[in-house]
Amino acid sequence: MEKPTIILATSNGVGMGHLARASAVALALKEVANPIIVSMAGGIAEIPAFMGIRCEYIPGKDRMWMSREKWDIYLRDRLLALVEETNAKVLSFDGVIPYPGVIAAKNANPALKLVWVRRGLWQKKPQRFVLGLQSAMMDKVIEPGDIARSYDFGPTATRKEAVLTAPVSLFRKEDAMTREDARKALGLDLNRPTVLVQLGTGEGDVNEKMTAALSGLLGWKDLQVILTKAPVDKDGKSLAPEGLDLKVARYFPLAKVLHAFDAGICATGYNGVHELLPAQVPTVFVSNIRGTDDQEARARWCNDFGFALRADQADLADITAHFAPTKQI
Amino acid sequence: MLQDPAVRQRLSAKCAELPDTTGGQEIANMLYQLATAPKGKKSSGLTYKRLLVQDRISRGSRHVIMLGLRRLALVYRFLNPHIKVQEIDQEPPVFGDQTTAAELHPLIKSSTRFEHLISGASASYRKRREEIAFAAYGKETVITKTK
Repeated sequence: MEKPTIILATSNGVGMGHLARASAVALALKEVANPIIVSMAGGIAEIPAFMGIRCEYIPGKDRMWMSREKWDIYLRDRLLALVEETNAKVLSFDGVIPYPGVIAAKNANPALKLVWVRRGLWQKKPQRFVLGLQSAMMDKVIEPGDIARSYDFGPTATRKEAVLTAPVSLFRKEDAMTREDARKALGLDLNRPTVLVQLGTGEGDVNEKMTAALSGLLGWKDLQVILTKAPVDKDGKSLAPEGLDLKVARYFPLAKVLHAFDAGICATGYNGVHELLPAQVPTVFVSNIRGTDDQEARARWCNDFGFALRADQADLADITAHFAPTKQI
Repeated sequence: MLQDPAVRQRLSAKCAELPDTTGGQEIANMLYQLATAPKGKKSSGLTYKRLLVQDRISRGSRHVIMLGLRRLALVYRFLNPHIKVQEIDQEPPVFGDQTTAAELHPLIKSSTRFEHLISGASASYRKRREEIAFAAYGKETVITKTK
């Protein structure tokens, strides 16, 4: 039997969570189907060459290349054209809110099966009011499991339409490189202590968190600090204090090289938590409170049950203290 | 405290208790079953129309709030004008089926509109995509993004 084509679409959310989940699903599908990933996230650039999966970038409405109304139609038409080109049977959407263009594609092509991969741990945002109607348009709603699900008191927590799975992650023990191989792949010293920093930059408060975290690392002897993006503000000004040995590493999927790190500093997004902790990287989480994702709930769970440490994202001194040598738990 | 080896050891050991992250395989199985099942769910026109109305209402209320915020922002911007201006290039979009990060990153970040195609796309797909892009961007465009 010919392999069916399945389109995995993702929004451009905060962080790489949507794209990482779609990549994990695509890898699992490769044996039996032809997965295609389409995404509004710039990170999709990393996927085709490294994972051998066909991909398309779709500019999100945030690019402002057209009006919102035109973008809804543009998205619908692009999805329908791709479905026709590839004879896809299923369109899976991983994102907080299925865009009108996604639902319009299903409405225009009833034979197409539409699936919503809907992460839990929502904050109480206005998007919750249309959950019922949006779910009713789907052939299936799937909730990727979250290790912190017992701390989920958001609007999706008590809904019944979703099928709950185990957590989704690109980290797989069997694929992960050894500490030595991972350090060689990243061009790191094999013996010096190494910390991975995965915090965002951009807005003022986010930049301040980055500076606070990096400041706490001062004084760690022989430390090498690896970041996934340059620690600079919008004007290119460095957010890092003097005296740290910093390196920006681009490696996809990062999950393969996580054993290179002695510790991690990370936002508490779905992806970071479900990659770093299964890889057993000792981590301090600093939540990003933007978006619908309830990162603080996830950070509290990780801290309360002893899997990681949580720094108070609203307290810069607390962030710094979590990395300094003297702070007592 | 992350500098303390004993703290790191304790956290790392605790993480070994976490369940396996096998959700990707579970979702893949569900999608495959759907893809090979004979029929999907019939879409409800009524539900779709209700969703469109709800979206309009939600967008409308947001629009009123945004109008107020925009006026405030204009006053602020008058007092603190931009130094740099980032424009969206009004040239026709660039079409391409690049597959490497080195090629794709600059195209995605560029101010020139980029229309990405899956590798191995047919000529008819390319033609359809050109039609879609033309309908979206039109002949004339305005600069809508400023820093």
